[in-house]
Amino acid sequence: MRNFFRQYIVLFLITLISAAGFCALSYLTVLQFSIQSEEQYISTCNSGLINEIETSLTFGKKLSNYYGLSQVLSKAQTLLPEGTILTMTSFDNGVLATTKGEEHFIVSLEDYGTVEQTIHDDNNAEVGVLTTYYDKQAVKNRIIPVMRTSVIVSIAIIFAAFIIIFLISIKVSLDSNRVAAILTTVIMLQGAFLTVNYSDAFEETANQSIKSVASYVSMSVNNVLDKGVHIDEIEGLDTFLNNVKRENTFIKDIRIEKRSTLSDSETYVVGINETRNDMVIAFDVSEENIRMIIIQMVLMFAATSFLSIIVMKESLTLHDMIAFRHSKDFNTETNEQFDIIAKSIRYGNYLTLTFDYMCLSFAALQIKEWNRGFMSMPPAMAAALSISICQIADLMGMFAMPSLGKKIKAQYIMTVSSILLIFANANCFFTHSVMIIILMRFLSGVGAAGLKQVRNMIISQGYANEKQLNQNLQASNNGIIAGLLCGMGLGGVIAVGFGYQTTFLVAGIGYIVYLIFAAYCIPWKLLSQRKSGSMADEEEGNLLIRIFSIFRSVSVWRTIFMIVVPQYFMLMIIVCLIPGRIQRLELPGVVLTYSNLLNGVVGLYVGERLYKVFQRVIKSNLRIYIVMLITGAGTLFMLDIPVYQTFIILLAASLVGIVDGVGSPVATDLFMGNAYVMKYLNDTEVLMLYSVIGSAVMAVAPFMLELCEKSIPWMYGTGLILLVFVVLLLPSVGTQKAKK
Amino acid sequence: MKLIHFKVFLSEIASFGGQIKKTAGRIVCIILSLMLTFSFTGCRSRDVVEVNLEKQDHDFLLTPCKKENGEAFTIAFMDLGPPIESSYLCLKGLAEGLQDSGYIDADVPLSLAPQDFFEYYDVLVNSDLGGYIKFCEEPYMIDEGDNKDIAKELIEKTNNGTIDVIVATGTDPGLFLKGLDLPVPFLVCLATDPVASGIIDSADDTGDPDIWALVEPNPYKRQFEGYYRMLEFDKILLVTVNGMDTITGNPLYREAADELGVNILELNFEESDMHANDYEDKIANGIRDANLTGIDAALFAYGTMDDDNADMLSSMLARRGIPSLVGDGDSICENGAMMCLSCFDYEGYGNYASMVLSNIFHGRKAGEQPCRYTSSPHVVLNMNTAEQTGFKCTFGFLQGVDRIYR
Repeated sequence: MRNFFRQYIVLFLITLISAAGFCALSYLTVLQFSIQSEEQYISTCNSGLINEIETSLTFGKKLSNYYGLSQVLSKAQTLLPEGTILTMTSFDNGVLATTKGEEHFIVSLEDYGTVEQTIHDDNNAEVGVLTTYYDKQAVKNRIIPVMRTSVIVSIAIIFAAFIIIFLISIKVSLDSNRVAAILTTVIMLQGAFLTVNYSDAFEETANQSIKSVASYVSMSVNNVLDKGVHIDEIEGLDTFLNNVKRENTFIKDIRIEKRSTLSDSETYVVGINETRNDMVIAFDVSEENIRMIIIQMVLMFAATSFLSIIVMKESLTLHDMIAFRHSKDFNTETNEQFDIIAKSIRYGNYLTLTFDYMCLSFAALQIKEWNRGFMSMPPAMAAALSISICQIADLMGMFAMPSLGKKIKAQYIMTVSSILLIFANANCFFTHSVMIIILMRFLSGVGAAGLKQVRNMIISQGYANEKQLNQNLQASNNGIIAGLLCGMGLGGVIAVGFGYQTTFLVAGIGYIVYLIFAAYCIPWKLLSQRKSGSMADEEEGNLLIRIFSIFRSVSVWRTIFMIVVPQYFMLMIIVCLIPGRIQRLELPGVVLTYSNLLNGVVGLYVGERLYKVFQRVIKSNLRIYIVMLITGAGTLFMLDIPVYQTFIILLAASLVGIVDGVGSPVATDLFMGNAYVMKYLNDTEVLMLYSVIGSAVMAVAPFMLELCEKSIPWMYGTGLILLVFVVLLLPSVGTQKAKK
Repeated sequence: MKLIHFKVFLSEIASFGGQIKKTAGRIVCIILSLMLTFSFTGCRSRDVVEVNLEKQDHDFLLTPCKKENGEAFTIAFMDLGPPIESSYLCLKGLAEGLQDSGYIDADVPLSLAPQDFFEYYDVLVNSDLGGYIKFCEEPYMIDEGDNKDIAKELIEKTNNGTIDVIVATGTDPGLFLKGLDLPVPFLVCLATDPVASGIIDSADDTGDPDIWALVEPNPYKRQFEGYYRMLEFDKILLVTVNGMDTITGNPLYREAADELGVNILELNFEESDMHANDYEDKIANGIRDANLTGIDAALFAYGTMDDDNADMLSSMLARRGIPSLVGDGDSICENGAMMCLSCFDYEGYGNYASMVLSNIFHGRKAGEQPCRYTSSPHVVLNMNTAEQTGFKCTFGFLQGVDRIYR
């Protein structure tokens, strides 16, 4: 009974967190659409002002002595929503004019969004920028009531579901599959409600945007008509209307016609000062575009709900771990304990990778946004440094960690590394200094290396037989895939909704969660005992010398170049090649979202099952790996098929997911199964070396995949190379010996 | 049964909380102590943009002020009589600029004031402007004579402090005021070339701390370039008057044409021709006899086309599909010329003079104020002539046109 309630509470918390996340992400998606629509309108309205200023610049006026510019801006401001501030900045002289009426003022970017439009001189050189600060809160206010309804209904759905679970569970026992099915239904229900709820709000936003654009257009036309021109005397009015139409997604057509000829009830009509023929401007709403955007929104919601389900599915193991933590078998060498170790490896990896990838690229983007350099470096270089310094620290850390691991307990390395990551991420959130960000990213790299060492130590010490080692490797890989999937997805949404630096805050909080989880659920005492027991068998001597020693063997070279390198190369297809193909084929952005999602889901769940099937049917790891090489080669060959391109892309992403889900644990196992490697290195060191080789391949692979993306012969050629490896590995099949 | 379930449920929540409390408590302590160290990166401030308004090429003190004794400044306005449209626009720009800066009360309905120089001036004199400034009862209109009475009155009033500053439009009023050597500053906000005419020494140094004059850099050249951008002509008929180069900018038109690779067919008249009774016939015959083959447009330099002959000349050209462009004068357009693209923004001049005036009220020297002012283009179009000529009025072009006549 106690176990049931423990499970119940954990499930409830997990579902609540997932559903809250889903609510927040859906709101942010709609907010993003609303902001885009607002910005489209502002850009359209400002085009008249920009035209006026640029015409004056063409006639020899300079921005620096454009006296009365504030009045010009104030006139344009009347077209824009209330509370909007316009500023004109000259690249040579700074801010020259504003509608604010104050010489110094502060604009909070939490309250104001910005639209920047460049000003060109007669030589088409950029001389300044017109910045529009619009009231972001007003945009938010429009969808907050809908968001509130979403939250209330979502909470109601969850509570209803849990009451149902509670009532059912009194009579029927609940296994994890049933719970997962119920919770998936909950998320699906919530998704369906959110879609319906936000679709209406979104349509309203689109219609509001059309109304605003319509009043701008009618005002512009009336300004000309009021000068004494008749509508039929104006040449090129169609061009102006077409430009407005092109800039505004929700408008299908804008035309000027007689009021009497209007028939379409869907058309939005504004009057103009053309009395001669009683003309009006008619705006046709682009139902197709609104529907397309709503479909994209639904697809985004669906992708978000998948993420929520993954978060929930991965977290479902938590209650097993917490329950086992209280059992008397905790920290004992029982099969159940080793099973729990595999689960904790998976969940630990899932957490760390999620938070690692959540903020990975945002330090660079933040530096670019600040537009500040570091020492004598330009901003672009400082931004690149923030990424590479993290990788460098990670690689250096991985070399240093094995020797530290011998002297320091894994538990302490975990604690120190987590604290380092919490500290570094919190500082990245707090700081406004490029130097601090770069320094903190270095510390993050060190912390990440520490956690990798801890992971390797748990994998290598947390098993009693070959099957359990495989289980650990599989769990580790699955945790990584799930973490990558959620980290990249969530990071992007948080960055868009709350700013780049918020990703660091969330990551910092995430590492606190990891620290609590790891300190509480991992059997450190048992691992420490097993470590002391294996210390006697360990190789002695300098690690670097021992690493160099293994390279004397041809079999090690063969394993690295025919197994480890191709495996990591194939993993990069989803990162580098498929996005490039999507861009080249001009497929919608949502295809990329779903490619990543499918890749992760297939790798994580299908890969796991398939691996077990392969182990049962094919048995030999090398044979399984050969199948993966053929799959990888097949993916490269299929990417250029000219029909059903979206389907081909999604299929390729799924196949690469299988290569990841099945191939990664197999490749690790084959590397660890190399007798020569194992002669000189212990399990932890082997895993460290495997990661280092992987990092090196991942650094080089993008360049090669870039060539594949640009040139089909390169793509086919690379596929053929993978098939050559298949041919070269075939003679070894059957001679492969079990590790140790 | 259900009650027992509920009790177990509650006790489990408590026990679960207690179990994680110990571990979490320690970690929270560590985190809190870490937070203290964040101080070295500073507390996080909100994401903000700090906007600091930089000064333009010259800063203006645009807050209204009074004389040291608390009285309003008195402005005298001078022009060469009778005032023309440019004088009215300049006065209007000056008044609106002063209103924007707060020297004239915002409630004074200047936008509703009549579009005539004297009537507009009357509004300024008869309204309660707010106590910062006031205008002399009458504008000073000089003529081509010696203007002794005006000179006497100005000397007297500037010496006894009745007039604090003089604003003048036109080259002649500028030279007249300079000759009087008055003890108050004066501003010439409309003169074709105040340097060439000797009102000031140069745009960088006026040569007298009490004299300021607005200098428009290269207006004719910019005008020619502007016409070229709109009409993209390869060959143009340029109608000029010899001996009036400073006012009409003929050399600058030629220079601009040369730079743009435009061929010029020039039709020259003498200054005496303009005053002759048969000038209208002369210029009409000149155009009729000219070889207009390949001519894409005709530009009438200042003085060659006027209100009287505008209709006849522009119709002649329109019939041959040649746009008639003028050097200056909205009224010429009103009377028939197809287009006037002026780089003399008279309202803008008045507006700019109001900012200079404010600086002077704040105690700065007139001669130290920046003289250069580059106008935005001012475009006037005659729609009927444009239609006769076959000129396509695009929406973008019409948006930029300031006034349309028929």
